[in-house]
Formats: sequence, structure tokens, C-alpha cells
Amino acid sequence: MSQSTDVTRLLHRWRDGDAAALDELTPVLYNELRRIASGQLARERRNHTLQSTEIVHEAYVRLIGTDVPWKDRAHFLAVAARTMRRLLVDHARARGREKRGGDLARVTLQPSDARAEPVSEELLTLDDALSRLATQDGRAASAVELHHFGGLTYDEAAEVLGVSAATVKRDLRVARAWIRREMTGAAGAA
Amino acid sequence: MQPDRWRRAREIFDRVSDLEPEARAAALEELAGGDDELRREVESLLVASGEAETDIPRLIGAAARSALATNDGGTVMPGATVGPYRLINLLGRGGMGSVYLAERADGAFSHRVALKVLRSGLSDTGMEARFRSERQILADLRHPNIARLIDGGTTDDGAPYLVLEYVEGRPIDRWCDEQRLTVEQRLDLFREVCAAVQSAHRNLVVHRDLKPANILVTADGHPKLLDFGIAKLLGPTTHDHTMAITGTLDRLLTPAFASPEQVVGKPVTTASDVYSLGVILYELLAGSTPHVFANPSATEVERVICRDVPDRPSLTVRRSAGTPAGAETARLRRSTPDRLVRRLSGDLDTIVMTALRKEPDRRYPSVEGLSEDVRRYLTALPISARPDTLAYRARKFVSRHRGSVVTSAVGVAAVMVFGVQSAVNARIATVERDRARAAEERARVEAHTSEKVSSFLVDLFRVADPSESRGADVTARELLDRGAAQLDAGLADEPATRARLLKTVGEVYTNLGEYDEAAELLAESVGVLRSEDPSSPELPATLNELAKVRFDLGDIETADRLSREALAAARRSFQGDHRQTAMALNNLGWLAFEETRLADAERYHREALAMRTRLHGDEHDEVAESLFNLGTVALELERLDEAAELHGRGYEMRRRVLGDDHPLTLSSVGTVAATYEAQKRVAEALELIDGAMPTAIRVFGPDHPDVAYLEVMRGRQFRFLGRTDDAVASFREAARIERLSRGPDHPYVGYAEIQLGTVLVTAGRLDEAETAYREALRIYRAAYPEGDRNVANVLGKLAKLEIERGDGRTALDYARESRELFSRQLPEGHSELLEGDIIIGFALAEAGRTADARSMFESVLPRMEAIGHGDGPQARRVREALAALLGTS
Repeated sequence: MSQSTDVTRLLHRWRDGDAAALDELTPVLYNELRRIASGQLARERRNHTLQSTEIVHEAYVRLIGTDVPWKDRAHFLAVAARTMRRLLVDHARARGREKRGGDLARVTLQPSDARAEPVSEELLTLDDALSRLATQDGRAASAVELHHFGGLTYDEAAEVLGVSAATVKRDLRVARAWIRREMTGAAGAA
Repeated sequence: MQPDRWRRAREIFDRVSDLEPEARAAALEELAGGDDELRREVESLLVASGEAETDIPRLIGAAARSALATNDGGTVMPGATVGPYRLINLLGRGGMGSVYLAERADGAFSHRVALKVLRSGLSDTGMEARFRSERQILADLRHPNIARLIDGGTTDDGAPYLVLEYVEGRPIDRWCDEQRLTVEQRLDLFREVCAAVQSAHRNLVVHRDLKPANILVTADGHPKLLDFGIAKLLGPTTHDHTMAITGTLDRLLTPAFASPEQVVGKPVTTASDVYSLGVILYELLAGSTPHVFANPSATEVERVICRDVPDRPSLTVRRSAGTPAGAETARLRRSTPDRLVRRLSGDLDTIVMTALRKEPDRRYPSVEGLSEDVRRYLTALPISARPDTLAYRARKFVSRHRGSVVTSAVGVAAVMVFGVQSAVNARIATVERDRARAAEERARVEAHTSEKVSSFLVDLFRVADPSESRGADVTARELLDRGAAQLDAGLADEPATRARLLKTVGEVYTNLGEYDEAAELLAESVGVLRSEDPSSPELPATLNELAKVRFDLGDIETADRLSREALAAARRSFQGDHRQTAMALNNLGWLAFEETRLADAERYHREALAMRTRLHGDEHDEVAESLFNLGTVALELERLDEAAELHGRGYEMRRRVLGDDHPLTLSSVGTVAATYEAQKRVAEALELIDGAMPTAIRVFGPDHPDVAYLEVMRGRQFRFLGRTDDAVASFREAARIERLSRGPDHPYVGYAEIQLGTVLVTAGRLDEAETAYREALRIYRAAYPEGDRNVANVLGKLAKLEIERGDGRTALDYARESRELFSRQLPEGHSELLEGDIIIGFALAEAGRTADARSMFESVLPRMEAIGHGDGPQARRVREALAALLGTS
């Protein structure tokens, strides 16, 4: 059986409520995402604006093909979004270890050749905030994962979450505000 | 927070956020007034909300880039000491090494400093001595706007380090945007930068690496220049020629800001800083650097910086005026795109372009001169710089083409050089091949003809000096039309020159996509040669060119006849291998391909490739062409890996031999992308197209068929990536261009409309999709013979659309006609016919004719199994539909 039908089958099982299917699907996807990412890097080391959402979509084209029903596509992207988040977090953790706790100053960087280092730190903070949001407002947290990590459109996210696109937009708005508040430490009366 | 409390907070947040900012406080008071905890919760969310809209996406994007990008850098850990300094923390890493925030370990000063540990070691004692003496010179440099070099030395590991004044600030480009400085404010700030650079120049120190990241603006709004002279300190020798070596260039220079003399390793002077300041001013005004490098290989950087004249700042702004990025650029300058274009046009364009001239001695003689012109502009005085005249540019490109350098200049010149260059190449090849046959006389005629051609073109440019045409750009097209008109009348007594010029101008029309005009001129040239000089070596070349144009006009029959005549003429005129013989073979290969005689096509192209390799060696644009054409045949034969290999080789060869902005290189981009697409390398395909598109538009003009093809290919990749809106925009643009350049009834318009329709269906925008499909249907019905497969194909698509829409009866009409047309062309049992039946089945189901649908599906399934499609996604869908029908009946 080809990889494409294999992935599609797992996807269907997961959509139909089989949680174990997700456990099988994730490693396949994780490796594919990493492979695509490193492939892109190998091709173009500099000046390349690597987008996580593009990688997710490329994984989709490779693993499933383009000729699938629209709803399958949305569900695939949902899994891919979650996997992408995990991949980025793993990477940020590794980076942090490499730097012995990664206590980099979050100041404006002085030298020309030094931009955007503390990002991995911030991503971990964001991931943490997102996890906490999930306990408070699971759907809003999922919306962030789908839209920002996976690049799902509002409509696609709406299909996955079983709500309207307008609700997705509202979820995103409140989720982003919540996360930002948490990240800047300006917590209200939570 | 308790779940019900959170639900309440969210509800209020959602409602208040929907209101205008002014109305929010009152609404919040009303909704949560009595409950302090609730109100604070919502309030804090509202405060965070504004920035969160952009912050969170940006952070995730940056995290992805940073996490997925490789990283390497210095080895010193914070907490360690370097010389008398203790490192507090790492500020950043980069090509040069790592930079730390540090302080004196012995407490002698409380100052914090930036300590830069350089990655490159000092390989010998001579270098170390030089490092020390240069350091001393820099340490003496005192200016309030220049960050001081305080100290330096080597670490225990032998790595050199520098201690610099620590500056907290924002890079000048970001500062200007964040503060939304107006053009005037930016110019004032820029002059402060100039003053600091001037002061260093008076002390005979050249910066060598001026760029926004090296110019920080501190909180009080004044600039501070970093890393003065550091680039030289790090240069491996006292001369800079090693700068140009790959790797060294990468690490030490930022290509976008480096001057031509720097990238080729000529001496660096104060004029190099003038150039870099010009780039910075360009970016501060126009929002982007003059040259953007998609793929900054050392050779590309050198070629672009040394040869390509960038667009004027005002033109750059105008080009982006309709885009969100363009609007943002203007907004950040408290302006609108239109106002910004007007503001930059004229003096500011001239000032920037003067600073950016390729030749150091044609720039401002000093930073002071540049700064003074900016001041004069600000006070509405006439500036000292004068724009380049077109006549000057014409002289330049003619002198360049005499040197036989394949090159291109801006606008008109790019197009004309291409035409002239072909003629020159043809001449060189001809002279070489014919030497043995005592062609001295011929060569004299050639020389005379070439001289005439050159002076004709130069005259053309003189006439077109913008000072005579109110400063408006003279388009290449106007220039050509003028040239064609002159040819029409003149040169009757010099048939050789006339034939050559007709051919040259004809070729330029071809490159502009004006095929009708091109065909007319080339046919006339062929006519002159046939009657005046049938044995002329020019005849095969001109026939080949005309055949290509006829081919482009869709006139396959004439193209075939002309190509055969060209092959015969070439074999008659030249013995053995010859460039024009290979060209004729190549064209015949194309024609065979077009008529799907693929085996013939492959044979012709292989013969052409072999001959071209014998003639020109392994690196030549025509060898690249043959590789390409063979690749296209392989693609058609679905030998994908072979196709990708051949296309990849051909494309890279074109880039090396012709350059990235050569029309042929650009034309091949779409084909390479198609191969990538076939291999499902969608992101690569898109990246390739995006990289080439701006150049293609610049070189071809926005309405050229080649640009349309790139747009179609881009749209397809967008579609595969699920970027529906982008795909729609691309296909619409492609259809627009095809309509304009090929006429409203050309099949290529239909093709673009079908692509558009397909993506619109995916997006559920069925009405728009229907319009697109119907337009394609109209065009195809008129363009193709009765019952053609292309027509059947569109009908099938319309049927599927109606099924999607739920109109089973209309769907059924389309589906039946489609199936009928297919059945006239294809044998019974063909998968296309099966597909037709499946569509009919779905249409029946949608029309409520359950029993008919059921029996159709039941008849289809065994046939699918018979051809091995029994397990595919399509069969699955049929089974599901069948099951559903059985369930309801």
C-alpha cells in the first residue's frame, strides 16, 4: 500500500474517533516535516524565509496528494499543525540546552550580525501559555495551533473545530490576547 | 478562573472587541461594571489584544525560521573572562563571530562594553601586527556619532577580539519605520550619518561595511555608527582582492550594500562608502534595497552589483503602489504611494542614483557632496548632480557589446543588446567557420555591416534622449517602431546591411512578444537575401529565426517548411557542423514535438545537442537549449527524473552563461517549475518562480506571454499549496496577459480560464468558476475542431461543477455531451470514458434519478477493477455513493 493511501486511511480512522490512529500518524508526519524543512535548508541556506505553514502544506502534497476531498485535507492539516508545533518546541528546547539554559538578554541586539536569537526562548514561553490556555479554553487554543502553526484558513479550521469561520476568528482574537498577556507577565485577575 | 467565569469574561471580551475603540470603555463598564475581577480580566485582555494581532504570528514565524535554520558561532560561554573583561551575556552570533555584553573584570571601569570575539584566527604574525596597528588607528577615531573601539587583543585560544562602546539602539531602517519618520525627517537623520562618515574619512578611515544594522539610532534620536573600519581589520591582507573570493565575501560583506569595486576586489576608497550610503538612502526612502538577491552566490552578486542598474527609488515605489507592501511603505513615511512617488521623482532619484553609479569616479566625489545635495534638496535649492542621459547609456552599452561581453542594461538597452548580441555572436561564429574558405572579402563586408548596425542603433538612442521627450520614458516599443520605420525607407543600396538590420529589429520584436511585426520584418529580410545573395551565410540564420516566429504564431506548417529550407541552406553554405545547421535541427525537433511525433523530436534534439557540444563545448547557451528541449521531450514521455536532470542542467547552464535576467533564462523558469511540479516538488517550484518573476517583468514587461506562463505556473503551485486566493489572483493575471498579448480567442486564454475555474471550484466559489469555464468553452469550441478532446474536457468540468452546486439536470446535460465527444475520439474502455460515466452517475444521483445512478455505478465498478483502478480514491467514492444510494432506496 502506498504511503499516500496509508496516511489517508489513518486520517479517516482518526476522524472517526480512533485515537490510536493519531499515534501512528504523528511520527510519519513529524519525520516528513523535518525532512522537508532540512531539504529546504539544504537547497537555500541564506535569505530564505522558511515558513512553517508552507512546510505543512508541502507535507500535505507529498503525503496525500492533491486530489482528496476538501474535508480530508482540513483534518490532515490539523494533525500537521499539532505536529509542527511539537517539532518547533523540540527544536527550541534543544537550542536552549545548547546554550546552558539559554539565558539570553532580551535586549536590542547591538551588532549587525546578531539578530533574533532569543526567539527559541520565547517560543517555549508561548507554547507554555498555549498549553495553559488549553485548560481554560480548549477550542481557542486549538484555533491558534491550526491557524498559526498549521496555516489552516479560517474555513478549514472551522471545519476541523465544527464551528463557523466567524467563531474561529473570535477564538483567535481572544487567544492571541490571552497568550500575549501571559507572555508579557501582565496577568490580570486570572 | 472558573469555567463559567471565563465564559462570561470571553463573552464580554468578544462583544467589546467588536466595538470601535472609543465605545469600549463605556460598554465594558456597562457589562462588567459591578464585578471588579471580571472587569480587570477583560481589560487586561483588551490591552494585550492590539499588539497580539501581529506579535503572535510574527513570533511563530520567527521561531520556525530560527528553529529550522542551522546555527553556528563562537565558542566562549557567558561568565568566562576574556583579557580583563568578564562576559555578562551573549548578545548575538553571526558570520564574524559572537558578540557579548561585557564589563571590566578588575572593576577599573564600571562601563559596559560590547566584546566581539572573532571567529577567524590570525594566521601569521604579520597579520597580528597589522591587526594591532589598524586597531590603534581606529581607537583614535573620536566622534559623538561613532561607537568607539576601546580595546582589543587575543583570547587564550588565539581568537582576536575587539572591545567596543556598547550602544543601545535600533537599526536606522527599523527606527525610521517604527517612528514613522517622514521623508524629510529621514533625510535629516541621514545627513547626521553622513557627517559622522565624513569625519572618519578626514581621518583616512573608510568604513567599508555601512548598512542599517551598523547604524543604530539611540533613544535620543541620534545615530551611532558601529564597526568603523572593522571590515578592513579583518581583511586577510592589506589589499582587498581576497574580498571577492567566495566565502570571504559571504562573511565580510553584506551583498546588498557592497559597492561594485568591493565585490570584484578593486581598491576600496571613500567612494565605496558613498555607494553604501546611497544604498541606505535608497532603502530609507523606497523601503527596499536597490538590488535584491534571491540566491546570493558570489557570481550572481558580482554580476548584479557590477552590471545591473537598479530601478530609480520612485519607480520601485510605483511598482509596488498597488500592493499591501507598497501601501505599508508609504504609510510608514506618513504618506500615500502616489505622494511618495511624486516626492521621490526627480531630485531625490537623481541624488540616490548618482551615489549608486557603478564607476567610483562618477559618484559624488565625497560624502560631503552627497550630504550637501540632500541639504540643497531640503532647502529647495537646485542640486548639483545630473541624471545620466540616455545617450550616455547608449554609448556605454555599445562600447560594452563591442567588447563582446554578454550583458544587459536597463530597459531599452536590455532588449536592444540582446538583439545586437545575437547578431554579433552570429558574426563571430560565421567568421570563424568560414576562415578556411577565404572569406576575407566576406569579413570586410561583415565589419562594414556591423559598423552600420551599431551606428544605426546609436542614432536611435540619440533621437530618444529623454530631454527631448519631456523626461518621460521612451519605451522599447516606441524606439523599435521608429527603427522599423527608418528601415522601411532607407538603405536600399545596401541590401546586406538592410537584411541584417531587418533581422536584428525583427528579433527584438520577437523578444518583446510582438510576433506579427517580427514575422513581417524577418520575412522581408529573407526576401532580400533570397534575391540579392542566396548563398549568404545570413540566409539560414534568418530562415531559422523566421521559422521560430511562425511557430510562435501557431503556424506549424510554414514553420516546418522554413526549417527544412534552413537546414538545406545551412548544409549548402557550410561544410560539416555549423551553428545554423544545429539550429535548424533544433527547430525541427520542436515542430516534431508539437505534432507529438516524440521519437522524431528526441532524435532531432539529440543530433542538435551532439553537434552543438562539438561546436561550442560543454558550457554554451545553445547546448543548454538542447538539454532543455530534450528534457521537455522526456517530461512528455513521463521520464520524470531524466526530465528534471536535463532541465536542471540546462537551466543552471543558462544562468551561468547568460545570466539570470536573460530572456532565455527567464523563459526556462516555467518549464523547470513544470518538471518540479510533476515531481511534486511544489515549494521548490514556487520558490523558483517567485525568484524569477520580478526580473521577468522587468525584462519582458508585464504583458508578455512568458510572464503569463510564469503566472500560470505560479498559480498552479499556489493551488497545490492550498493558497486559493493567491492562485485565483495568478490565474486571473495570466488570463489578462494572454488576452492582451495573444488575443481574446487564443486557446491559451482558455487554458488560463480552466485553471482559474478549477481553483475556484475548490474554494467553493462556483458562480465565478462557471464564468471561467464557460469562457474557456467558448474559446475552445471556436479554436478546436468539432468534437475535440479539449472541448470534452471543459464540458466534464462544467458537469462536476453543477454536481457540486446540486443542479443534477444541468450537470447531466454537460456530462452526456462530454462523454459523447470523448467517445468519438477514444476507444471504448479508455479511462477517460470511464470517468465520463462516473460523472454521469453522480449527475444522475444529484438529479434524483436514484435507480439510473445505481445501475450506472454498478456497471462502472467492474470496469474500474478491470483496468486496475479498483482500489483508487475514485473507486472508493463510487462505492460510497453507491452505498448511500442503496441506503436511501
